[in-house]
Amino acid sequence: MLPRFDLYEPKTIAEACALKKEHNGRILAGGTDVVIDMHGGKEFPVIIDIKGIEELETITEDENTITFGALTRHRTIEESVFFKKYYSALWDGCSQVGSVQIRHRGTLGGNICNAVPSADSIGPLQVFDAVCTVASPEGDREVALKDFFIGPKKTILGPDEILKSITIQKLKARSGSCYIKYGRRKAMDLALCGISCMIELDENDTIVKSRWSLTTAAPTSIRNYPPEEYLTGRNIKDVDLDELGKLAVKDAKPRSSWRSSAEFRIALLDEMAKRAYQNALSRALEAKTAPPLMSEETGFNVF
Amino acid sequence: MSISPIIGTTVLRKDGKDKVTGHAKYGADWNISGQLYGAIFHSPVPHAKILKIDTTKAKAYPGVRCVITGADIGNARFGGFIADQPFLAIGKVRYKGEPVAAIAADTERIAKEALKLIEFEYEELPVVDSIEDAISCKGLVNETWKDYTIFGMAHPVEGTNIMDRFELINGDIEEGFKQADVIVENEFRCGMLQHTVMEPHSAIGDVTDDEITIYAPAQSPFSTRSMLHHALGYPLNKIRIICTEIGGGFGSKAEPKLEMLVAVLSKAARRPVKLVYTRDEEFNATFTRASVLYKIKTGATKDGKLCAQKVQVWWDTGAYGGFGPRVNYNAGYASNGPYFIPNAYTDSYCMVTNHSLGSAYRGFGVSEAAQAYEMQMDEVAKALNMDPVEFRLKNVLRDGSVSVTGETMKSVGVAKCLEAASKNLGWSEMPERWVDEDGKLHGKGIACFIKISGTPSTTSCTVRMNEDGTLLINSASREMGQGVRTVLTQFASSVTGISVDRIMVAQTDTSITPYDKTTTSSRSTFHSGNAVLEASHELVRQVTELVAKKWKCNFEDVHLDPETGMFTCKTDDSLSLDINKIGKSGILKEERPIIAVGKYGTKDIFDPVDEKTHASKRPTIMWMMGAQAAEVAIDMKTGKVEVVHISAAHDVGKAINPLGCIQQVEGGLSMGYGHALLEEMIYENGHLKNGNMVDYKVPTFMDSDFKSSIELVEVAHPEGPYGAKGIGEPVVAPTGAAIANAVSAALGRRIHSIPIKPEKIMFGEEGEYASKI
Repeated sequence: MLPRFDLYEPKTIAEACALKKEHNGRILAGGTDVVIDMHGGKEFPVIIDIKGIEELETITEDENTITFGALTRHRTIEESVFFKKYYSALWDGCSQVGSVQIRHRGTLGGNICNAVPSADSIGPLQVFDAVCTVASPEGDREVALKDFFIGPKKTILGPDEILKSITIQKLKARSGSCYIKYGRRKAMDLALCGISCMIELDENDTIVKSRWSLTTAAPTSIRNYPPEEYLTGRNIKDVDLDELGKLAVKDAKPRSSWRSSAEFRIALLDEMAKRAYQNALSRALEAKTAPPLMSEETGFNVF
Repeated sequence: MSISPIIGTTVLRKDGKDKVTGHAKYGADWNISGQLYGAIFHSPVPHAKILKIDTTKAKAYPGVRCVITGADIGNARFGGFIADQPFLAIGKVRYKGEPVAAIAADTERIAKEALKLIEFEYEELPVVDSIEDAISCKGLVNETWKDYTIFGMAHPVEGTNIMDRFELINGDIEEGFKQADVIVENEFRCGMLQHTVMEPHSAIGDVTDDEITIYAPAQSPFSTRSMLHHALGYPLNKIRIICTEIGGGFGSKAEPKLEMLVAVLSKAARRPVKLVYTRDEEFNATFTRASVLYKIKTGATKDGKLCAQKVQVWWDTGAYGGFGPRVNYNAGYASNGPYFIPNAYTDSYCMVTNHSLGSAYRGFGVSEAAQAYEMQMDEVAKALNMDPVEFRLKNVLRDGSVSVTGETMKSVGVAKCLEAASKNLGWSEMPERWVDEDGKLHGKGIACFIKISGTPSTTSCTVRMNEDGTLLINSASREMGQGVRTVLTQFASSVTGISVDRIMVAQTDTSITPYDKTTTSSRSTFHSGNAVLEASHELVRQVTELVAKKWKCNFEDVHLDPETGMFTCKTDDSLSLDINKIGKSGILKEERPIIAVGKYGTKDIFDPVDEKTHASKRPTIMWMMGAQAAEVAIDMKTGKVEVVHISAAHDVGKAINPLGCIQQVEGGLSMGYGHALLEEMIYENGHLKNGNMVDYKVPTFMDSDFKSSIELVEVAHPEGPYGAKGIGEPVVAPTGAAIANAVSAALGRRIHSIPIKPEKIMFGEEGEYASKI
């Protein structure tokens, strides 16, 4: 039984922002977190269902970036061969959220705004230097995804702000990425821990850019700088995997709980860092050219 | 005599279409006129003295019709074996989630709002949070056992937390160990489990001063009726249980819970009351499979023969008895496995703790027993340097073997099952352990088991012919996914020749349906099958009389061929009639209706057990046996265990509905996978930490998608219907042990406890299983 609530269904972003401020309302995108909370007894007196705002569900691109409307569904990414091939970490993450049914409902924006450390899409988005566009009556502002969280379940969004879209940087040639999720089950599970990485190579196999992030290893999904610093400027033949593993867990601060010990999560992250790197590397070596524009790509499922 | 081809033919499930189209009406789908909605105030703490329950504000809340506490009910208590459980807490609360107060209101929302207005004051007591805590008697969950009525099977020990003790004594254990060349001692544990049935518990009670009517998805309506009778004093014939469809039972609906609450709530409210539990209430306030500690000491001679075994068992039965003593009894009988052991001793205890009730769960303790003794058998085989399959085949019971209770065994299929399960896995072509190209460790494991079916017990049914010649079976064997409804129509069809699509099974209602003890213990195909066969023969006799009358010939000359359904006359070749067209034939018109009764009971077959040693030459009507073999692959760097292949072979006696049997095995493998690797209720100081479907890891379809090979072995049971034996619970009995043995083989070290979490693989399990007693 759901607690009582008033439901608003705005048709524009401005209307949604105004309603949110007026009622201190809870934004509902896919509902895969909000409705579960409500069934658990959590009271949200005002629900603002933004599913009717069409412009939030588009994916657009320019020369350097791809922008996902906040309502982009995990299933949309999962079903796209384009994202699977070129933005693999994001595909890895989105295709492992919950179950098929949940991925049909759950959105990127919802996953981000729910702001739990185990969110499967946030870590991967971080390795593509994602930037959030936040809308309010005063206009839009941009906030790097890494700066979007101020604590577990807490974001920088003001009372009249909603997340409008997420923009990622397009990859160059010889780039590859990977997200590894560790869960006890093969579906319908939260990440006990997870790790994402992206590397870009030059023609001499030197890593010119690297991005890492951690999932369920701190109060929020965090960027993971030590392995980035270690890899940047290093030739792939000089990469010591054991060293990389150690650096990848340097900033990790997982908790010990009945779910698992911190020691175990650290051991997992160490191993998964090596695997994520190797996976991203093999993908980078295969990527001879930069990803095409989505609109130029033929034979793929383009949105 | 040849058997009708409908026996052994896969038949479309009788309950399938209604369930997949959403038409089936489960407990929560029912509503009755004038009903109120119930809500329960559960104890927020595991162990406390009740100081005050103030319901004044809740009672004053608009729309609330009635609020009751334990004080309103008096000292009535209930239980299957020991009546220790109050309807609502009296004096103390003994587990977090225990019902303390109950509300009936005009709507569900009002009832739940009013819950927040109940003021509950208590003084916390030390929590008995483990088997060790319970044994130490530092805190007593029950100060005395003397106040409770005992129905035979529970044997509590005053001044302790022991609610039941079961001993099994065979031969001379000390002498037996003297003969041994190797002696192996180990401790094993199984974690606490939830049934996590899809359909939560629910009930509607409609109670007056004179009569009780309950609507519920009950597995055992007659036992529920009996418990209500004993606890509340209503005459049996004034208590009616109307059964709804069951959305998953697995033992969780074997004993009443909400039925008891709505009974007292409806009586107080003087209106019908409906109560449906949430998933949170399911986890905290229903039933569990108890966690258990096994200590086993086994002796064997150097030629590989078992000569002595001592098994000590402690169950964490939770706060109240429930079906705990029955678990203790069934698992106690199974505790030495399907082996010939001349000297055996089992000493097994139900310990009460401040946890949720450890009660009936698919197998009644038999899976846990198999988990322990089959891990132990591998260790004995290892000490003897023997192959695990070879060692088992050398020691398993065979026709003519004398069991640990003194029974001369017959219809024993376990050796065949071991041979089939190992062969289908490719056992003899595999090394014990190896490493694959990805660096994963592989291992193989085997496990077999033995299980009793509760004996003595009785059942009955009626089979009646409708005016159109179709049949209606009235049986209290409850369909809960196991396929009994389909199988009963096959039995009726096999005798009458009436096609299964012209045979229905009615829903169960204790005021209409003939008596059946319970739908548990994998007994329905066997017991109700026999009853339906008896009724069907009688029904054929009655129909034959009418046919003979119509044809104006002698009864003895009219013959029904059950294969074709054709009546023929020995004396007149021109006469024939298809029984499937008998409705239109006019034969039935205005004749005395066709109705037949079938009965089956095992009291005369049962050899009453010795109270001390539990020796019996026939402790059960039916032994069930089988074996499963598993191959696993382990990633040592992540601790992940992948089940590559499970090969299952179960002796079903005779597969009545083969696909139904295979579906049972498939479901069991998935469930057993969960037991072995994922599922566990985690308590910390009496508080359940993972009572939700995210943190309590039930396997998904994705997890269950491993290769399985299933072989149905058919060693006919002399008293079974067409030789059939039970298959519902046995399928899950050896899975956990087979997986654990495969994991142990792969690791090269023994795993002692389930679930086998990745951390145990990577860091070991020391401290997690070893007892402190």
